[in-house]
Amino acid sequence: MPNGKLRSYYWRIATFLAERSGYLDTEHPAFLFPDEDAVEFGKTLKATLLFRDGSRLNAQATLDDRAEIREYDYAYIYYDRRGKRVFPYDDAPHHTNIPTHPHHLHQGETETREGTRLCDRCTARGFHRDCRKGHRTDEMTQYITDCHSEVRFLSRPWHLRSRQGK
Amino acid sequence: MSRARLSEPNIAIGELIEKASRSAMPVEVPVRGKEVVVVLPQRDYEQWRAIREAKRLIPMRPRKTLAEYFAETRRTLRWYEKKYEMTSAEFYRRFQAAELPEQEEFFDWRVEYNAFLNMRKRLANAKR
Repeated sequence: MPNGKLRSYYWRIATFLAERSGYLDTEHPAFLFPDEDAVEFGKTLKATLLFRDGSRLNAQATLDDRAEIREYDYAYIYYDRRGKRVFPYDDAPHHTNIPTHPHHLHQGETETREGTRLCDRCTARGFHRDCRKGHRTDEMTQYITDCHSEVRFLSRPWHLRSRQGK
Repeated sequence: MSRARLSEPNIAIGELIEKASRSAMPVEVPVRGKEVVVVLPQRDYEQWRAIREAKRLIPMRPRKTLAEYFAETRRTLRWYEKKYEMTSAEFYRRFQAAELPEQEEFFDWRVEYNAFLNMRKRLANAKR
């Protein structure tokens, strides 16, 4: 039976994205965000978030609503503006040797790492430590907008950019 | 959201706020039979504003019925099953056993399959 947690979760993600809409290219035809019924019926969330610098995050997760919402069977794949994969972050049970198993982060096209080498800022924020519990769509979006300077710069409102002479 | 409905259209504002602050739920007062004044706790109001803003700023897919979502998901699963020549159940078992590589379509297939199972369960419960 629906317990309201999925809808509450859905609106938490949606309002978070709205607060960060300055970073997002919501008018891009590939921008995709589900409606709340789809999330509740399927207990899944699939979204394609386009950033203003042309990069994009494909997010897909299954949601366990028995206690606090928990994402499992998830994958977040971030592509740069040229369509090159920057990182996938997922919980496929393929890498049993890493300490954060099954949660893991790949760097680049093929390498598999446990998420400690993305950048100093991410490491300082404890991103890799949090890998153990997995991440949510809002946290991943925040991570991208906070830690990837290209996104931060290009998605800054135009009037602030011109004030700085850029 | 449940609300306490007051049938006192001429209630004073101060008295209304007093009643609302004692109520465990939002209080509404019909005015002239056409308008309604709703008094919300600040936190609920902020949440309502945030949701209204999200609806304005984030384009969301149009709503469908459960049966429509279910049919759409089944179509997607059939497409994957045909392409990779295995059932979704077999795919899921093999992927979770790390017998299949991590590739983007497999991540999508996995989530679609979970959605299918959840919707099928919901539809079965609705028929009981």
